[in-house]
Amino acid sequence: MKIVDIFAKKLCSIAYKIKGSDAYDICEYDRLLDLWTDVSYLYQYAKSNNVKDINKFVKARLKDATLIDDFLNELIEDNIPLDKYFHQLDNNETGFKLLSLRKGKTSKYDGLRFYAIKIDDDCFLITGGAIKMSFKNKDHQDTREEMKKIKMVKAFLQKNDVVDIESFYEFRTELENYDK
Amino acid sequence: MNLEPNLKTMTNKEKFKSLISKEKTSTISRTKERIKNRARLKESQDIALKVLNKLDDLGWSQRKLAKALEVTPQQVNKIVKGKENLTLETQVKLQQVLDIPILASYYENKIQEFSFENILNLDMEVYLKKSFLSAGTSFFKEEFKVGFTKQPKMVLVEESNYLEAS
Repeated sequence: MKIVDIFAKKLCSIAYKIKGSDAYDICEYDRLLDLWTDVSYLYQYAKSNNVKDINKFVKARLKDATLIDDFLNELIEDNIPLDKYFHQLDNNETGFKLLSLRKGKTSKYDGLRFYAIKIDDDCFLITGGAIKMSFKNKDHQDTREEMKKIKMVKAFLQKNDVVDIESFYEFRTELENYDK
Repeated sequence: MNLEPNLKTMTNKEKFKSLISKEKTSTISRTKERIKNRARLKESQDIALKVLNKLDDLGWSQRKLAKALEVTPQQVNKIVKGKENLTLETQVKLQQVLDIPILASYYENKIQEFSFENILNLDMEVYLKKSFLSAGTSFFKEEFKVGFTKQPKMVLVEESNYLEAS
């Protein structure tokens, strides 16, 4: 995996290797936004998930994607804190936690989720994302898969002693040199 | 002279900054582009959805549509993604081949073709004064025509007894 910057030092994303290839895919943020703004993908997704009103579903997810665009734009223009978007994944989590797992949503009506790890204050690493199809993440294959990914990245960071922003930068430099 | 930064003497933040330029994604420019083109994208997405719905109704594959439109399947794939800036030619072709409303002309033509007979046509014979209909005109049009051109009936009023009485 590779870590790439989206916006300054605040928002980064993982880029995974393409299956069966040594080449890297585009970062998770770009890959997911490409899918979430793709009408034929959303249409097929709704059909394969037995959604009753396909058109309503597609239009709602396209609308959600525009809200994410607006959020990133707002982040750039107004420098808003990322905690406003990334909420605790575990609703019972309280206080400070190292490498806290987070979910990104623009509102409670948002049907799209980014998953991220909080590296430090106002510094997040996106590990993936999914269309929210079930109340509990464990109840849908896609969100189950995303939970595996976020835990895998967290374990990877912990194994490399990343506990805060400083150690994160240090680890990134090592990873970059290793990739060369 | 070696212009490469000496990684050993750099602080963590400097190391991080040195990485930014190399690792910067095109995310921000892509986002700004989507926001700038939002109105156009919305139209492309609506057309894509109409096309996908119609393909399902007809039981057509994207390949079959490509053949009917005389374009490549890759072109159809781009249309149904809802991201393409479709040319007027493509929009007209889609409207004609799939009979779906894309341009205003679709509804304008429908209005011109409109008649009350179309509403009454419920897949059964309507016997409403059928004998008065002349070929090619709608029932109501004919009725209105008759109504407006009819000469008013002249009613002869004889002098009333009331006048005589006064």
